[in-house]
Amino acid sequence: MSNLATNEERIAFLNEKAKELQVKQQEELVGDYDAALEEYRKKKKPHVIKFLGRKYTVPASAPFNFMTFWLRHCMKKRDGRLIVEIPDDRLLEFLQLMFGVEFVQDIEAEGIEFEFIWNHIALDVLALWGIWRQSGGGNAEKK
Amino acid sequence: MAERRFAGTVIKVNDKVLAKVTSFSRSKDFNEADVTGAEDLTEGGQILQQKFISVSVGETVTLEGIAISEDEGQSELADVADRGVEAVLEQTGPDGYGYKMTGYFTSYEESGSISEGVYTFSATFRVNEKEALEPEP
Repeated sequence: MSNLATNEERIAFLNEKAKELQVKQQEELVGDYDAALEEYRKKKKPHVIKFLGRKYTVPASAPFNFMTFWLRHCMKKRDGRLIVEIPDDRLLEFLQLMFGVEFVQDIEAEGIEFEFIWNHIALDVLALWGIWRQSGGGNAEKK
Repeated sequence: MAERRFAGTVIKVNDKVLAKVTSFSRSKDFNEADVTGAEDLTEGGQILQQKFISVSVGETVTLEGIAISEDEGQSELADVADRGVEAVLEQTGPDGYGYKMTGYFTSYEESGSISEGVYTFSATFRVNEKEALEPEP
């Protein structure tokens, strides 16, 4: 670097480059998962449900807020067996987290029974997400 | 000796700053001589109790840093290491105290340009002379 004539200039230049190096090293220590998430979303395309003459999309795997709700409020242990029990006062929340607000508004407007939604759609989605598959005896219930 | 980081450690050759040291670790090696005499018997025994004295000490510095790339694309520091030329390490802490060490490189590795104008390097440096530095008044 011919423009660095004095030692002061050379030290100032080296200090500046040392800071650049430090920043670069700190950046390398950061785990960047944005690209991984983008790729994951590309691969896991949402599923489409056709119902009431409309189409609704359901995520390919359980969303984070649904999983926390599910584990906190729906999974219970009774007589040493793991059962699913959706509390009455959280039914609406369950449906909204699984299908979205629009879907819930539509089934309310059409007066669709919960039992139909549970047996025909919700259980399929739970199985699709791999978090619950109803056994032959039927140990999932709405409370 | 544990690795320490210093705010201002530079390498100079012919009083020209060539590089900045970012990581620095000093170590000393001692050589000893056996001075056991025939009279050095273990108490009440018939075997010799060995005795040694320290006869020499050597100091090396392991360092990492960045070196200025000259116009030809090579760092002058690499050239200094290649030719075994005497260099001066000026190590100063934030308080201005430190050491000026004169010696030569016993190993030198340049790992490429991280940014325009500089190379990163790692090296070991043999210290032949050491002089204390005091803060400028």
